[in-house]
Amino acid sequence: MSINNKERRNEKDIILKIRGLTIEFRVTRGILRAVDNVDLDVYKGEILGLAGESGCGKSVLAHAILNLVDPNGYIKSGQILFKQNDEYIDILSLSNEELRKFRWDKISIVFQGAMSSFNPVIKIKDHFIDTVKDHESNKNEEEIVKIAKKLLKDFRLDEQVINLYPHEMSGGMRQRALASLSFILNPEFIILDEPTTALDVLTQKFIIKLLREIHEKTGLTMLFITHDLATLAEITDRMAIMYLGNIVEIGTVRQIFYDPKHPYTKALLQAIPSITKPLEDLNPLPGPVPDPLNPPSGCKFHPRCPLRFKACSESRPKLIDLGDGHLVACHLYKRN
Amino acid sequence: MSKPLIKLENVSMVFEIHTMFGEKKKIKAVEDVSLEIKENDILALVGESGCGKSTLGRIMLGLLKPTSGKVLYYINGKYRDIWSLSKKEYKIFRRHAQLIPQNPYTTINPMRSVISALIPPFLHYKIARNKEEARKMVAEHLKMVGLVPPEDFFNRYSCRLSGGQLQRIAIARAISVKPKFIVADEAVSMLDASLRIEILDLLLRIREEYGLAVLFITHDLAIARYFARKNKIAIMYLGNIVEIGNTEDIIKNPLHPYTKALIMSVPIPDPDIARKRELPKLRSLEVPSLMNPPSGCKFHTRCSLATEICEKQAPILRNINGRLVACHKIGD
Repeated sequence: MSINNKERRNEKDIILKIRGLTIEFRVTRGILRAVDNVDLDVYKGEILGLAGESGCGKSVLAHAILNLVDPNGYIKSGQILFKQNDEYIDILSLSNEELRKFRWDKISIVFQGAMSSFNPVIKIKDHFIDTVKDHESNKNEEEIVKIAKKLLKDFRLDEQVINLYPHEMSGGMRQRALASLSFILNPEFIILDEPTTALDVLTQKFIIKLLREIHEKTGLTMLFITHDLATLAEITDRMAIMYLGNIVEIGTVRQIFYDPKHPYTKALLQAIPSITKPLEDLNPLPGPVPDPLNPPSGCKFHPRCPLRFKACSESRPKLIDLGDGHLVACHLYKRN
Repeated sequence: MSKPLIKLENVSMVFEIHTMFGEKKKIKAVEDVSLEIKENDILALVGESGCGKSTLGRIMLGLLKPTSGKVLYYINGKYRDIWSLSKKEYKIFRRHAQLIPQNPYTTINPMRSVISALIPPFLHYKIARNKEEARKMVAEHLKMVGLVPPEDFFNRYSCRLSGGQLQRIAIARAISVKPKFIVADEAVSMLDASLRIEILDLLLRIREEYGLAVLFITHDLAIARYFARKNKIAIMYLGNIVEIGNTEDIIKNPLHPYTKALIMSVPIPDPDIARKRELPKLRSLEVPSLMNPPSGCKFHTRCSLATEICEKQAPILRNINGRLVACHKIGD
C-alpha cells in the first residue's frame, strides 16, 4: 500500500464543499457552539480523516452532512454543497422527501455502535431489503439478497450471515455487516464515524485493511472520523484536525504526521504513545481543555499554546494555504 | 532484591450464569493463573475485552473470591491467604490494596462534594484524628495530584469536574489511606488522548514517591509500554496468561503467537511504518465464546502454527530465555 501523493488539488474534483457551517446546541447552561464557521472540501475518490478529541465537534460536523442534528441542536448558518452532474446542490435546502431519497443513495453513514444501528428483531437480510425498497420500491427481493450476499462476501463474511439476527453475531461481524449495508445503494460517498473504536485490536486492524482495499478497488470517497490518530495514519489520504469546533489544520497524511504546522497538532502528536516511538519523545499536552460553553477569545488554543503572542487572544486565525494544499489556522503563519 | 508483596497461586474464577431460558452455564473467566507482584514494582496486564483481566484485578483486591487457588499477601512478616485473615488483619489488607477504576465519572458519588467524598477514609482508618485534620490532609492530597488551589475543589460536585480532574481525585483517594498495592483498571482509557500521558506521569510519580506496587490493567499495548517501561508485561487471552516478560522484550520480540498478532495489529501513528505492516496471519478472526472455550490451547482456533497437540493439551507457562511463554510450538 503506497501513500497517495497524487495531486488532488483540482477544483473540479471537489465532491463536497462545506462553507461557513455553524451548529449550535441548546443545553441547560446556555448555547454550545459545537461547530464554528467551518469550511471543508472533500475531493472525489479520497479518504479524508477528521480527527480531534471528544467534544471537538467532529461527529456533529459529519452527521450534519446528512442534515442529522440532534433535536436540541440546529444549524445556524452555512452551506453543505454536494456535487451532482457538475452542479452543486445544497443538502441543507433539500425538502424532507428529497433528503430521504438522498440519504443512503448518495451518501451513507456507518455509525459507531453497530449493535444499536441494527433493529434487533429483524434479520440482516431484512435490513438490506427494507433499505433498498425504501428507495426503489419495485426492486425484486431475490435480486437484493444476491447483491447483499456479494457485499457481505467483500467484507469477508459468510453468505449465511444474511439469515442471522444481529445478536447472533460478534461485534466485529456486526460492524462488517453494517459497513456492507452502507454500500447497498452504491453511494458516492460514505461517512464512517468511529467504525472501529469499539472493536478489539485484531479485528480493528483487519477492518481498516479491508476498507482500504475496497476503497482502492472502487475509488469510493470516504470521510473517516475518529479520535485515534494512529488509525488515520494507516487509512487516510488527507486529514483535518479539529479543536473546539474549528478546523485548525488540513493536509495530506504525511504533511500532518511528518510536518505538522499547528501547535495543537504538534502537541497532540507528541502526546500519543506508540509501541515504536522512543518514550522520551512523548510529552503531555499542557493545560486543561477549556469549557466549550465559554471558549477562549481569539484562537481557541491560545491558553494552552506555548507559542502564543498578543494577536492570538485578539483575533481568530483563518485557515490559510501554505502551498501544496497544506492549510493551517494559526497566526504564526503568513499566507503563501 | 525486594520480595513479592502479593502472589496468585493457580487462581481460577468460574462464574455461573443463568441464561434467558433458565439454563445454568459456567463461564471460566480466569483459569489457573499464577503470578506475583513485588513490592514497589509494576506489572502491566494486557488483553482484549473479555479476556478476564479485570476479573483478575478484582481477585487481587479481594473483591472477588476465586473459585479455586490462593491469593497470598505479605502481612506481618508472612504470606497469608487473604480469605483466611483475622478481622484485624483483613482491615490492614483492605487499607493496603486500593483501586483506581476506569470510569472517572462514576468514581465519586454525584451527590457528594469532593471534600465529603475524601474525608471519610482518613477518619475511618484513623489517619486523621478529627475532621479539621482530615480537611488539611485532603488539601495536601489534592495538591499532590495537581489540583491547585485545593480549596477551589472542596465544594465541587463531580458534574462540575472534567474527566482528567476526576481521575486525579480518584488517584488522590486511592493513595489517601497509605496503600501498598494499587490496581489501576484501564485508568486512562476514558480520557482524551492529550490527557493520558499527563495522568500516567502523575501516577508514575506518585507510585515512585510512595513505593507502591501496581497492577496496571489495560487493553492498549502502547499505554502499557509507557507505564511499565522498566518492568514487566503479562499478556492474557481468554482467561489464561500466555506470556510474561520484560516490557521492551515483549514489544520488540514477542514469542507467543497471540502476542505476535496483537503487536502486529496495534495501530502505529506513523503513516510510512503503518502502511508497511502486514496483517497477522490468523486462521480465524472470531474470538471464541467463553461459555464454550476451545480445547487444549485456547488460541489454537486462530493460531497459524497450531497442530494436533495444541487441540489436545493446554500448554503451561515455560521459561524461554528468561521469559514465560505458554505455547507448544515455541522454543523447541
